[in-house]
Amino acid sequence: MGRIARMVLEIGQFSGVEPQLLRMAFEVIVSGTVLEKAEIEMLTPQLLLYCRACETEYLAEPDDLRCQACLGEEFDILQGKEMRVKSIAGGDA
Amino acid sequence: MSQLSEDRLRRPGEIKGLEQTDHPELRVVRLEEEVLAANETVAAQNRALFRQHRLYVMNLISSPGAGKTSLLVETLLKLNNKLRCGVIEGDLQTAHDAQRIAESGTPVVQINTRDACHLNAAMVGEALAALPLPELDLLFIENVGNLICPSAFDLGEHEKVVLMSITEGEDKPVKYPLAFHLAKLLLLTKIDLLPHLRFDLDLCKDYVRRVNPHIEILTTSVYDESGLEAWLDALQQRVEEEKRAHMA
Repeated sequence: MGRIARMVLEIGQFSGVEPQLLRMAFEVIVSGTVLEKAEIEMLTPQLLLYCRACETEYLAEPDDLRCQACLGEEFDILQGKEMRVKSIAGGDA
Repeated sequence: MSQLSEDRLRRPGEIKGLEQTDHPELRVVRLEEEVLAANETVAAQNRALFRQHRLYVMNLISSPGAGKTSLLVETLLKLNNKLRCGVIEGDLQTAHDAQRIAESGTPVVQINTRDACHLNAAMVGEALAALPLPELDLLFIENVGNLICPSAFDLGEHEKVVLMSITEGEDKPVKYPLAFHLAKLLLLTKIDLLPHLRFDLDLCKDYVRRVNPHIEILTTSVYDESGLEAWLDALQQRVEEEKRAHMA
């Protein structure tokens, strides 16, 4: 793969990374690299949790992770902390 | 709470977006590579070193001025070698904090990150080489004063401890949720100022529990020394548990 045309990133809502700022930084840092002309797509998975009391999945904002149905304190984060390069796509040009 | 939106909600394995490319000439390579994989690798090396030396390690995180260094200086004086401690100090510039720590006779390494707003595992790994690890029970890593970026970088520590002075306002935990979510222990510092401030302690604790229901909370002051006994007990307990865990 001589040239990378596209890159897919996954930046969760609770990853601590601001997608807009990452995009700006990306544009600066790729200059002169194989990623220079690459399009970047950012998937931004929402914060998804599981309430062990209600046994249901729910979406939350980062400033309150509790299940709003029961305000339960036993929850697991299922999705939203991702900070991952999912794939790259390119040709030989 | 946000509406469930199909667009933003994606399950593992369900890959959308540019991988379904309408440009057949492009070859797609699935990577699933963690952005911080390089840091994770070095953090794991640090962790192995800590385990080898049965060394308990705390990563102290707070805003600038919450009182991390003051707490450490007081802690080292009070411990008076009951636990053998080492300290890694992270600051953008100066060795001021390391000098304050060194006065207690504790081995200390200052990291100057220059323009970086957090410590990473490699910086800590280098600093470890300058510390007498076999002679230590407990290592404090004082991160750069910042409640945002340090949360993202695993240093190999056993736990993150977040400090917040009560002059910062009750809602700090929900404004900077990730740091408070990841910490096992919260120290509410400068508690001696409570009579002079409009700070609602119960409200603050309620905010913290929204992002971390099981966090342990201690209120401390290095001036009137309140809460310091409980903090020292917590340190002792952690060091003992770490030693026991690797006895068998």
